[in-house]
Amino acid sequence: MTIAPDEPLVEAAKVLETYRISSMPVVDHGRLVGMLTVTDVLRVFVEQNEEIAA
Amino acid sequence: MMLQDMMIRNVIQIAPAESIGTAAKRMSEAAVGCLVVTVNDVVKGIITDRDLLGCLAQKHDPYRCEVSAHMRRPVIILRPEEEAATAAEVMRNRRIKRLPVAKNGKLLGIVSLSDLAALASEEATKLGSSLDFFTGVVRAQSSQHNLPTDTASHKPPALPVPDSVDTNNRSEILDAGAPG
Repeated sequence: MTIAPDEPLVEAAKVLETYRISSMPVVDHGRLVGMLTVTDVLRVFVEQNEEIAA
Repeated sequence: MMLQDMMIRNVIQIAPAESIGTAAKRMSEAAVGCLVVTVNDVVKGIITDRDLLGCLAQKHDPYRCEVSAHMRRPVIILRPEEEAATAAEVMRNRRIKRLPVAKNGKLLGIVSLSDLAALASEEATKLGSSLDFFTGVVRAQSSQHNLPTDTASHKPPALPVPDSVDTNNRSEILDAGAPG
């Protein structure tokens, strides 16, 4: 399972949850550009909500 | 080793009525992947980062969703006097990575698969050095029982020694050979 860098975070959450995986490669037009973990998704979610609250 | 001797006592907890957003924040701040859901230290459930992900993936508002709606229950709990090996077996059979430790329903600590792995690694190192010692002694002993033939021929004839020799008998044998 992979995800593109321009996909919304919620899509990443769906893929990680559906396939019961804890991390996945981020691929841009066939080129590996990073890894995304469950922890990353939750961290970004918390950061975004703190920005909204601020 | 008993769980009470190795468990993490500072368990990060959350109440069932708190929001998924609060749970995400608490996990992120404490750098843990799991919270034990409690009311007055009594275990009500367990919630992992994966359960939070489920809430986000369904596009629910995490600040309106309660922990109680996404937590896992019933929770498998072990008593503090259980052995680490029992925890490992429960984790394997149930395919889980964390086990709260509680007595009379009250949460006392938590053990994770990674804690057990660290303990197993320490035990393996100890076992390795015990094995080295054991092997060393056995080799030393066997080398003295299998002396080369030419050395053996110069040996004085061995005194007959009874199978079981107590201290008094041994001193008698030594006295027998003493001058005077």
